[in-house]
Amino acid sequence: MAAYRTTLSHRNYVFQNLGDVLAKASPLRSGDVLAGVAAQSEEERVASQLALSEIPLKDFLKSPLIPYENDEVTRILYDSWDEEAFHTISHLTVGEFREFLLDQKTNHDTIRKISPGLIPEMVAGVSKLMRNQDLISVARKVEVITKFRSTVGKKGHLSVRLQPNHPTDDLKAIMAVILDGLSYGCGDAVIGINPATDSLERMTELQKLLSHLIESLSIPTQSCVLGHVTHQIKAIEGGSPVDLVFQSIAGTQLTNESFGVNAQILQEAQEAALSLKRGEREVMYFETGQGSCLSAQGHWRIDQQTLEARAYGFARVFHPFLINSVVGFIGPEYLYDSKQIIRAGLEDHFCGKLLGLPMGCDVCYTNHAEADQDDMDNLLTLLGVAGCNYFMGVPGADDIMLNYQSTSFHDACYVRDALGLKPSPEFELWLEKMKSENNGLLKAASRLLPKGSP
Amino acid sequence: MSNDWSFLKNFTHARIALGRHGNAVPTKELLNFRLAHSRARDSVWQELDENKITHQAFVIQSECSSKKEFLLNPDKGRKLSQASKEELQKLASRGEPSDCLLVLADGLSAKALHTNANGFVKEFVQEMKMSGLRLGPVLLAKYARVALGDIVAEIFQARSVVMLIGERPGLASSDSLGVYFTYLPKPGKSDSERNCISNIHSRGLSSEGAAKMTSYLVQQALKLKLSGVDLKVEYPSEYTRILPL
Repeated sequence: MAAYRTTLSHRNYVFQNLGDVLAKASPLRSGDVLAGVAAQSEEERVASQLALSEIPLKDFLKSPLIPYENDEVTRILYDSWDEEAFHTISHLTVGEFREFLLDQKTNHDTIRKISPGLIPEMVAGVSKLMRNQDLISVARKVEVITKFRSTVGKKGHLSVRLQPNHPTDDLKAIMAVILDGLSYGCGDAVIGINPATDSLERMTELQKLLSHLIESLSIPTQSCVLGHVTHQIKAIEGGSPVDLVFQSIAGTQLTNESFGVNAQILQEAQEAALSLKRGEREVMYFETGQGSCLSAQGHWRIDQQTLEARAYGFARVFHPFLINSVVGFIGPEYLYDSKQIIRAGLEDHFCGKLLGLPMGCDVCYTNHAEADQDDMDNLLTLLGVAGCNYFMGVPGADDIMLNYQSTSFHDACYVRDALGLKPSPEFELWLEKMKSENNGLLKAASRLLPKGSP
Repeated sequence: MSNDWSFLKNFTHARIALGRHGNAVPTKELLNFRLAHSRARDSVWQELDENKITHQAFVIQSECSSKKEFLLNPDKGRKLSQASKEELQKLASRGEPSDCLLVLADGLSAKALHTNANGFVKEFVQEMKMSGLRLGPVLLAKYARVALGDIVAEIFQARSVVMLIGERPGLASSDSLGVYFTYLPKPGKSDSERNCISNIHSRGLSSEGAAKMTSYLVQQALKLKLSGVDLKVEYPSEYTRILPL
């Protein structure tokens, strides 16, 4: 692949190839330093951005960063690329593409029209030139709506995944958290449990619990038990009531293999979920996160933000109902502090939306990262302004099973209130109905969990 | 409002029924959270104290020489220091290949080993003995990540390895252990080839129950000759019983 260069008054910077320019142009983060692909100096970073800004978008199509014959994700990205949709922007450089996206004339329709013509590397590239406010300005133009029992992603609405995880998957404990969360208006994106053990029996119990709750209270939402996808397929075969099928995915075949998945397994899972006729089209739920490819030693010396965008391109062909990056979960060796986590959260949301995905975000951090709840307030607010489809609702922001901090039921109330956002339309009606039935939810809670009988 | 819902607290130690002022939590809850976070932060930085492990264990160290280096360089935490490697090679040459190796690792919480490893080791050693399986020497690894177990097990030519490791501290539990089990361990094994049992602490799985589960897992894996996502283990329910709150 051709070399790229930038000549500054005193120094000539040469970059081996497109992957090298992209990696060095990426805003500083510990994962790229760890991988040995980051710029060596602040000046080199900007020199890379100067070089990147002049690269024609067409160059991205010439030769894939990861060879087509070696990587299933690359094959899916290039095979699903829509030449006609690309035509409108085919004459632009990356720098001009930034200006095009920010232009007032470029709106939701324009972006949705070009979206199938974008490959993730172009989207990652343009994001690297952008300031945080650019990432917000462009992302908020795009509305990506998905539908199961509730409708998620409409402008003016903000949904929440209720995440009632428990260290031993105790059914009553999980039920208590769900009821508490519902009382704060959370749970309209999904009620999604990460099971503590990988037992098929327990997974099925959890699926039945959620399905029973949703049916008995007529909640316009959907359920998910986030075990391994092959377990979920087995559960479906065993007759378990599965709404959304979950899987963690990443931007390279090697990394997906380390998760024990590939496109064929995901397709089988999608077909299995659709066969239940609970959802019509969008039945998948994916989670991703910058750094996972390096962690799995499947990164091909590509920077972690570009790889993350590739995961979205991979996800796109499965029409997910929900997809979110778990941005600060992976730890300080990939995103060191709140500055890096906040930047990554905005990039991920922007890239996903540009590629036409119903992006949410798990705004979060671990206890070994340099971040705290004030930083999460910042990212939550910024992503709320950017039009993020959904956040996590974790009781008190403290996940007692996965041992990390996310956003709380209270945080969801705060961001909806501060930005004038409503729950999903069906869910909002349901909340009103429960309220009009003289606090029907509290009555249901007392019925489902009789007082004093843990 | 908080009063009506407070009965839910009987069912879980999750932060529910907190009450609210506007959209925010009461001041007491705000500060409770900060206190828990401060403790978790402190436990990330706590060093492993080998004197707190009662079972005889051979101490080894990864390539890291400090906590900070360990936090920023996961790869170094997966490799053995040269000194430990040589010592282990000597030790391994004296023994016979084992069915299973148990490695106790500090991971992201040395405090978890200090608090919960002893009960696990006692029970697990007993279980191995009863099932007639040969357990290699117990190892205690400093600044260690999961994959270090693969390297260690290869030196001992062990058929499987149990990594008992300190998990990332959370707010409710800064002393939680996890088990990562691998059949035919060798460098380059991926996470999909491992089985995991997590949340071993005083408010999650008991050390003894987790040891029984692990022993059951080892026996199943050796019988079926595999581990990871393809090994679906249904544990006897008496092992997975929840500890009282």
